[in-house]
Amino acid sequence: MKDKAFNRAILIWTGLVYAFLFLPIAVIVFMSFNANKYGALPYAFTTRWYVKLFTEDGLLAAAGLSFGFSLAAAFTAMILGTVTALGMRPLTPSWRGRYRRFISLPVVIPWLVQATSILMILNFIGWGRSYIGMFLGNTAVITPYVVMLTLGRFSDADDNTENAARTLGARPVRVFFDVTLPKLVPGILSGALMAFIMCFNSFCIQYYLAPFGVRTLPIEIFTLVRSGYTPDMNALAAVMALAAAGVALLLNKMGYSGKKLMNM
Amino acid sequence: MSYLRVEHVEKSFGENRVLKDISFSLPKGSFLSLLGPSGCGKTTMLKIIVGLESPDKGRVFLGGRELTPKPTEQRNIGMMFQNYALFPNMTVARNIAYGLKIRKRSQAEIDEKVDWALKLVKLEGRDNDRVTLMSGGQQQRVALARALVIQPDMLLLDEPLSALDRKIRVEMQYEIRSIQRQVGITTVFVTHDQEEALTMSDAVILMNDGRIEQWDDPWTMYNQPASVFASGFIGKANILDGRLVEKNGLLTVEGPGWSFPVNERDGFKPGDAVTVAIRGEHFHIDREPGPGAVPFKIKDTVFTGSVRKINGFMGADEVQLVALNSSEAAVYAPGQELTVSTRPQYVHYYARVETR
Repeated sequence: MKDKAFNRAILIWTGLVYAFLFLPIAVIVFMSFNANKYGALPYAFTTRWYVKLFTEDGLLAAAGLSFGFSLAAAFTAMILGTVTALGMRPLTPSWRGRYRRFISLPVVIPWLVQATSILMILNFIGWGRSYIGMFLGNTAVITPYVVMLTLGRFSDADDNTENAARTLGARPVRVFFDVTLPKLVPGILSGALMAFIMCFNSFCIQYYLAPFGVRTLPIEIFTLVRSGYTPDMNALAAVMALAAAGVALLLNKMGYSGKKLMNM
Repeated sequence: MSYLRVEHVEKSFGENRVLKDISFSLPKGSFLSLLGPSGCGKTTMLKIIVGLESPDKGRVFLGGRELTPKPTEQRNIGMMFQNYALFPNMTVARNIAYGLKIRKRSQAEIDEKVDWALKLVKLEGRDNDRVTLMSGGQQQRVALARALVIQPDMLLLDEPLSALDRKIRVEMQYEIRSIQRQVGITTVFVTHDQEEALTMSDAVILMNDGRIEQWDDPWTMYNQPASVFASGFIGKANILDGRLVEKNGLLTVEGPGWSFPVNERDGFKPGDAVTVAIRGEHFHIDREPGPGAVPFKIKDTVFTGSVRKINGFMGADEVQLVALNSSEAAVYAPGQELTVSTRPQYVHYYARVETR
C-alpha cells in the first residue's frame, strides 16, 4: 500500500515537470490565435497574426535566411564531421576515446567564449563581421555533433562485415561504399540534423559574427523583443515549435530504428 | 599430398608473441580444427591464412601457390565469422549474391548460383527476407551460403557456432560437416570447444600459448594426449603427481596411497618424478577388491544425466570418476568405500610439471 501511494506521488511529480516544460509552448500556441494585441483576456479567436506573419513581416525573411544559412553550415559540418570520424576509426579504443573527449570540448565551452575568440581571430585577419566569418564560426561549433554521433555507429568491436566483404573479393574502396558508409548513414544524418538545430538556435554566435544589418531569425527576434513584443511572434513561435517537433520525431526514428532506416 | 601448407609462421603484437613457429599442412577436401583456449593464437592463425593479418615470418601456400603476398580480396577463400557478419542493409539473396556481383557475373548466373546456395543451406524461398530479422542459426546458414557461392578454394570458420543455443549448435555442427563433405571443400575450423572439434574434424591441432601442443586425429587426440595440457584440455583428466617405480618386474606409477602399472615410454626410467593423467571414465569401479585395485572413498556424487560423476579420495589424492548412469551407479553414496582399477594404456605420464 505504501508503495502504491509513493508511486502515485511520483507520478504526479512527473506530471508537474512535464507541465513546467510544456506549458509555455502551449500558452504561446494558444495566444497566437488570440485577437488581443497584448495577449490579454478575454480570448477571441483569430488567425490574423498568421496572415500578418506570412504577408507583411520581416520575420519570415529572417527565418528564411536562418534556414538557408543553417542548412549550408550543417551540410559542411556533415562532410567535415564524417571525414573526421572516419579518420579516428583506425585508432586504438583508448586513443579514440581521448580524441572523442577532446572534440566534445567545443560543445561544452560556452559559445559566448568561443564567439568572442572567433571574432578576435576574424578581426585579426581582417575579415571582421562577415558572412564567411559567421559561417566558419557556426560550422566550427556544430561539427562535433556530427563527429560524435557518427563515431557512435562504429562502436561494435566484433563487427566483421568489412572483413567479410573483403573475403568475398571487394577492394577497399568498394568495401567503403558497400558496407562502411551504409552502416554510418544513420549516425551521419542524425548528426547533421542535430548540427542544423544547433546552428539555427545559435543566437550568441550569430549576434557576435553577423555582418552589420544582417538579421538571422534569432537576431531579428531579439531586436523585436527589445523594441516591443508583437503577437505575430507568437505565430512564428508556434510554427517553429511544430517544425521542431517534426524534426525531433525524425531524429528519434533514426536513433532508435537505424536498422529500419538502412533497409529503406 | 598437402593442399594448405603453413610454414614457420611467427606473429607478435608488441611484446606479445602470439604465434611461435607454427607449421602444419592439410590434404585437399579435409576438415581441420584449430582448438585451444582463448588467447592461444588460433584466430590469429586463421586471419593470417585469409590475409586479415600478415605474419612477421613464415609463409602460407594453398594448392602450391604462395598466398602470403596477396591481399585478402584476391585469395578466394570463403570465411564465416562468429557474429555472422552479414550485411544488414541487404536481403538474404543480395547477401549471398555479393561475391558474385563483385566478380561481375551475369544476372542469370547469379540467380542460378544463389538458388543453388539457398538449397544447399535449406533456406529455399527466403530470398527476400531481411537478415536482421532471422534467428542466429538462420543467419549463420546465410553466412555459409554466402561464403560457398563464390566457389572458394578453401573455407575458414572462426568459431561460427559459439553464439548459438546448444541445440541449434549441435544441429549446425552436423549440417556444416555434411555440406563440407558434399561440396568437398578444404576447411579450417577454429573453436575453443573440444567436443565440437572432436565431433567435426578429420584432424585436430591443439594450440596452447602460440604453439602446437598436439596434432592428431580426434581418436588419438582423446585417447593418447601428448601432454599434461592436452589431457586436461581435451576431456577432463585427473592430473596427479607420482613417481615411476619397478614393482614385481612391472613398471608402475606410484602416488600417496595408490599405484597403477603403466606401459613403458622412451626417456623414462624408474625413479623419475612424473605427472600422471587418468580420465575419470577410464577407472573401473570394483565391488570386490581385485589384484592391483586401489581403495577409494566417495566424497560426493553429481548426477548430470547420461553420466554420474563421483568425487572422492584415492589415497591422499582427490579424483573424479565418471560412471555411466545405471542402476548400479545410483547406489553410490558419500562415505562409501570401494576399490578402483584401470589399465596400463589409460594411465598417461609426463615429465613432472607444476600444475597446481
